[in-house]
Amino acid sequence: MGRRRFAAVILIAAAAALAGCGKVTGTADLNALLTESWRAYSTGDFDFAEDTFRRAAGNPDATAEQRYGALLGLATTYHWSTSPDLSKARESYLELAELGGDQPRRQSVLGLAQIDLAEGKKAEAQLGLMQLIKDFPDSLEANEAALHLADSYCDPTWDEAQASGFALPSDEQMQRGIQVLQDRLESHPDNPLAGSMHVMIADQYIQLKEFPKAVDHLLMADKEGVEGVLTRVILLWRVARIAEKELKDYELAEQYYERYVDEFPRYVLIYRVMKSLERVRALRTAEES
Amino acid sequence: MATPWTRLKRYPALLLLIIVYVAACVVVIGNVIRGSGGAPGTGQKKVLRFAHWQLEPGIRNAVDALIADYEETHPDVEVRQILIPEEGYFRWVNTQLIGRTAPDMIECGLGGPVAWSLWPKFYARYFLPLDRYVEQPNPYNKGTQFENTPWRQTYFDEMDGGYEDTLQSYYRVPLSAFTVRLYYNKDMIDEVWGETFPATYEEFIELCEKLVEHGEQRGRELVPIAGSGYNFRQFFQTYQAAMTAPYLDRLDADYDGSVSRVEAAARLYSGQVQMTEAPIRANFELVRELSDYFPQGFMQLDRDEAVFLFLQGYSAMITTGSWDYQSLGVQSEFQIGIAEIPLPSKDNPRYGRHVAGPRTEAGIRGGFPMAITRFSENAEQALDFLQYASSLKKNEELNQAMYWIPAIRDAEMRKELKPFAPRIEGYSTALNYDGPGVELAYNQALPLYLSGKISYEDFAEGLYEAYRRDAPHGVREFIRNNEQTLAQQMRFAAVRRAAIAGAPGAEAAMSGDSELQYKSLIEVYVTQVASRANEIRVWAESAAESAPQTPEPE
Repeated sequence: MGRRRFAAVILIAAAAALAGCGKVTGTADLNALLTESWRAYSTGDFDFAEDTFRRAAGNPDATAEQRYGALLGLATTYHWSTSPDLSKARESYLELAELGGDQPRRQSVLGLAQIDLAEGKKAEAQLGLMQLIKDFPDSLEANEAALHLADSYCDPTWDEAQASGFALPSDEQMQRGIQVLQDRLESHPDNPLAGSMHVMIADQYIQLKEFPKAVDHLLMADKEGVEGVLTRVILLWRVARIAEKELKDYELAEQYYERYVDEFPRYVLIYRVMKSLERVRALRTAEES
Repeated sequence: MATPWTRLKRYPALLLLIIVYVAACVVVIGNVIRGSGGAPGTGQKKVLRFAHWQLEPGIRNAVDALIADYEETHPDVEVRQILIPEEGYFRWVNTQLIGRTAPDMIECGLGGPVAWSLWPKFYARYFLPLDRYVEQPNPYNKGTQFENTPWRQTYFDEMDGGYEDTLQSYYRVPLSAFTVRLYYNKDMIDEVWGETFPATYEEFIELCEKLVEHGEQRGRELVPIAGSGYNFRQFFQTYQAAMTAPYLDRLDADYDGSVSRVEAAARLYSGQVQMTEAPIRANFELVRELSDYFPQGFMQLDRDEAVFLFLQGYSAMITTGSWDYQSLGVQSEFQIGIAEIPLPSKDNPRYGRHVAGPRTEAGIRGGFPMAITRFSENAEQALDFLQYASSLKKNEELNQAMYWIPAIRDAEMRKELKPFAPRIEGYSTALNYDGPGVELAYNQALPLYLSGKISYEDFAEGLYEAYRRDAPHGVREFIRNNEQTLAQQMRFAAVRRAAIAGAPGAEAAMSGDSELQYKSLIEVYVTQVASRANEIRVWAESAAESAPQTPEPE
């Protein structure tokens, strides 16, 4: 080979390498790719997320952990994108379970149960959620599973046979939902979703018009600590309002109206809260006298 | 042996081509070097571009002054305003974002119902989430009472105006706040009525009558209130909140403090609440009475036409927001006064007993919201500029210059703006008359009633028929669409759960503490699930109650 030809070959090879033709994705690169994929998912760029998660899942150099992350990402993207593809999500969750290990299985079972719920297969979903709670009782996923399981009993369902288009749950079904959460709270009182569980129980008791029990659970939720502003605003108002209107417990009402004023002095209900505070104080004075 | 130069001389065309090519390269390289440093002559400065639709001269000058101050303390930065007219703003933003040519900072939120549904998608895709910054103090508050206060908590609304509910993240940096008031031609009102503006609805109607007479005496038509559909809504909503407040307690089945559109629609559908009930009828009769003092066909007029009528002296009053304070002042040849929309007094025989109080402004959120584009090369610098603009001192100066209400707590507003100070007292709207599915029928019937073409009885009957016909489908669609909100919560909870569960890349992709965020997302999810269940229950029970009864077999 002449010098010129040799130089040309070297030049082309260098250009090809520079253009990325010779690039091999290493473990570190794959982690970066997964980060990019999750970021794309969280910012709503689902096409990009699906593409990159699929590439990462199919990469032969991926570690077991990376493959778990990629498959979970792929299943999550199919499941929760704005145009979900539940059958592909199901396939990916099943593939995830085949990886073995607790973590992939927990995510898989929870995801599959949520798909069943979305498809109206309540019985299958409930079985899966119960299994998850039984098999992995101390997991975070079991806490979430308890909430979905309770909701599956209490949630109204679409029913075109009804004039309204919906079938309401019976009181027994609602009590069953409440029981699921109470069992979970009894076995895992300090779980991080305990506040949400008490709020959900209180909601059911409000629907059932069992107001003393509703307030008890709202107070327990408050004790557990409710972080979100929206949830907290409603919690304080509810305790005060139900205490005033249904329980005639003006002391409790006053206490929670006062807390509302302290915590949310500019929130939309503040004027009603201040008026109510005046009213319950007057009622308390009248009672005492 | 011939040198390359000698060889080239044999091919003058090729020589010319090479010379032109080299010259072009020099020009391009020069432009690139200058472009990276900003405008010609600015050396190596970082250039921040800042797009908004506030074209009023006062606003532009005030922002220029803020920029000049910033550049003085940041000599390596140049900030440029890009002013885009309101009409084409959303289209422009859309194109710029998709083409990745958008400026570093963009004012967000304009565009109407279709655009409002698209903004959250834009935030998610093109803008920088600010969660990791809002809990840190604003460095430009050093030496003030907010030195150690998280940036978020320096806002009058705790930066609620920057929070995107659908994405559970902070994306916007609000710089101002706004309220709506009644502007009036003070010279004219002083002449016709006296110096004290009417405090009650009764006096207000009397004033309107006097204005009509005043116009007739001068041989020209004088319309008391410059109205368009937009301006009329301000009046309508004030009286709607004032007169339907008792329904807040009556219809709030789940004690969450509000009456949702479905809760209201269910009761109007079933007849548990009837349009002929005294407070509702009074609400409509009042606005019908008031509409006599608006221009003919006002529902079809747009906002600019109403402003024109007011500025030209054809009308004595107009409702609009504090954002127009300076521009109306500059453009008018008369003194402008500001007042609250007057409510009927308790003694008013027709309306008095139905008035609970004013419409609250307690929940208003910060406005003039700026977001930082994700692909900005100077995102950190843009953030720095917005922190500067939202610091206690600079936000006060900026808003004083713009004649707007500051977004930062304790920042002083101009004394002329005191009548715009947000009103904490009052109620939010309890009854939305245009329930899901009934919007079209309502919006067609209301102008007919207001213009006197149909009676109140016909209006109420027509609306009830529309509820019976259209609400079942509308409510179902509404509930189905809202299920997407629940999915949205789960979408974010899923990535947080993945991060907690150790999925590689998930934690690094998100800002903030995943455990805390996950807990908070689940709380919101539970609240929304409960709200949905309550709406369906109220709807289903109302539907069952109003279903035709099958006669018992004899």
